[in-house]
Amino acid sequence: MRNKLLMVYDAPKRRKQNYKRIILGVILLFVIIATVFPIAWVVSTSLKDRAETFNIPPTLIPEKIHWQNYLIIWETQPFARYFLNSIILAVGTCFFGLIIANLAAYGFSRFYLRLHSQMLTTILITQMVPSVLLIIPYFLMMSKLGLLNSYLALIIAYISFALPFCTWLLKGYYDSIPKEIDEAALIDGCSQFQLLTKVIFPLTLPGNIATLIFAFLQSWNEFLFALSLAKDQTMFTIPVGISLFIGEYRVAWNEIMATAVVASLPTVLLYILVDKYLVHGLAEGAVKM
Amino acid sequence: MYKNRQTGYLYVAPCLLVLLLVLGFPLCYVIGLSFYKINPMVSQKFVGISNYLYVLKDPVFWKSLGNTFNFTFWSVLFHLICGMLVALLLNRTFRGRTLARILLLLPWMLAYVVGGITWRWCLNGMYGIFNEILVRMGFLSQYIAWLGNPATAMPAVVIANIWKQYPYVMLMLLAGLQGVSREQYESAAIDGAGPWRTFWSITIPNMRMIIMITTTLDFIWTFKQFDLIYVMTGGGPGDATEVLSTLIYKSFFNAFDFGYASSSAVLLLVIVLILSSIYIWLVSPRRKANEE
Repeated sequence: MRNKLLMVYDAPKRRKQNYKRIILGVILLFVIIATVFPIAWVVSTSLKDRAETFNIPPTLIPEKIHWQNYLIIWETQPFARYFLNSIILAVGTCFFGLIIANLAAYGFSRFYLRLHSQMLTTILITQMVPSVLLIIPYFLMMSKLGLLNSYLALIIAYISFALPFCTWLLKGYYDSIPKEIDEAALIDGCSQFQLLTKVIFPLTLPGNIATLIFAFLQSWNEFLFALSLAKDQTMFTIPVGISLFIGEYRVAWNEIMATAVVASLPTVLLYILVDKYLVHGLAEGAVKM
Repeated sequence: MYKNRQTGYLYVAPCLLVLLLVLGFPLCYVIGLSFYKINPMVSQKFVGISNYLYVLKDPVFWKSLGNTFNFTFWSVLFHLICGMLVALLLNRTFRGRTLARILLLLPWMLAYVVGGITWRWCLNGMYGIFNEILVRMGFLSQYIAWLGNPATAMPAVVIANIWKQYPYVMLMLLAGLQGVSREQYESAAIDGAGPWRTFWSITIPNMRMIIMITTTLDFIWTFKQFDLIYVMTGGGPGDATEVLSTLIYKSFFNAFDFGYASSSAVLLLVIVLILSSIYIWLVSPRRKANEE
């Protein structure tokens, strides 16, 4: 009863609030359209036939949906190979990166080491080192070792950015697990290493999955190392393949765009999967891109 | 158990060792290289700092450094403005909020290479949609080749970068906005403060730290940006969009000038480290304690 009275009393104010909501909603809608528009045009182009991409003025919606582009790209370019390369590199990087990072995160979280904060700060700073600086020694060293054009060379290069941020992210997750759990497990006769593998690690599993996905995405999207250290078409990753597509004599924008869509779909799906961990990752200063 | 330091070192050792191998050693290698004059496969000779003098006397280096600052400044400024505006719009409860957030984050989720070709196609001088929209809206009388003209190439690259990265700043600021207590807004409303006043007197002071940290990080990452510019213009036309990263890449892989490449890379590193130390200082626990 009382609520109803208040509502009547507040009617003019409520109406004003409603107007405000609608105006803000319209502005937001406009921002969303402006942001998504270039992507929508990419998708639209990917569904046109080649002649239509050269229409002046350009058509917004394809006159006739041309799905074939999504099949053709696998034949005109070795895209299956690029995909395979990207997957091998991302998986390799995540595998080695996460094992080492988990050990380090546990160490930093559970022990007070000499130069503790200095070591952590150094790991944080390593993320700032420009990749373009690293390609010089990498290229020279790898060519001396005969490792150019190998998965190993690229995984080593990728570890240089994946390991620091995995360590930082995971340390945050390990810190969030109460130390009382360690004490209880140790009293029950657990060894230090069992404590990590059997008790703490399972508890950080959600954090580990989020970290795994972030590491995967960073490797998947990486461009500069792949461009510099893989000189042979059979070793190209998807971003390198896409970038070289433009340089070809026969520019087929519809096919380029279809490739871009195919390359981005897994990325977007994985991001949506880790959506709720995004902000945590950002707060740790670990998620860049 | 936490007193048992030795065990602790065992856990962090692999990480530190690997970092030393993949980062520490290459860094020393490139710094060393910058003091040598190298003729690939033929000879190498210690020349002291003459590579650096050579770089510092080169007008192209200064042009690229200026371009880098230009590119970074405008990108970061508009990331902050757009990010803040959109974060404020999203910081309310309404139906479809999660969907709106995901749609707005899309550009950031894409690889830089994909963002780069997206804009290269949108800005295409003949068949691009961007020209058509601007002509229809009356801002342009005819199509222009955005990326082919030295005067418009840099603004075009900056626009692409604003679009690509503002969602990241938006996300950080949104997290910050959600940390500002409701009571402060309520008491401001009781005191009769309007939205403009509330924004400057309550939102901004509360968000000072997160704004500074985000801006610094954004500045560092934009400063070393390579992918987007390489894919969109390759540094051209001429050297209109040449930034330090593209200059270093080209001098190494196209001109094989190892001395020039490594010494300018070291100079880039120095700038980035100075910027990073600001970041480290901002996030250091001791400073935070003083602040409170």
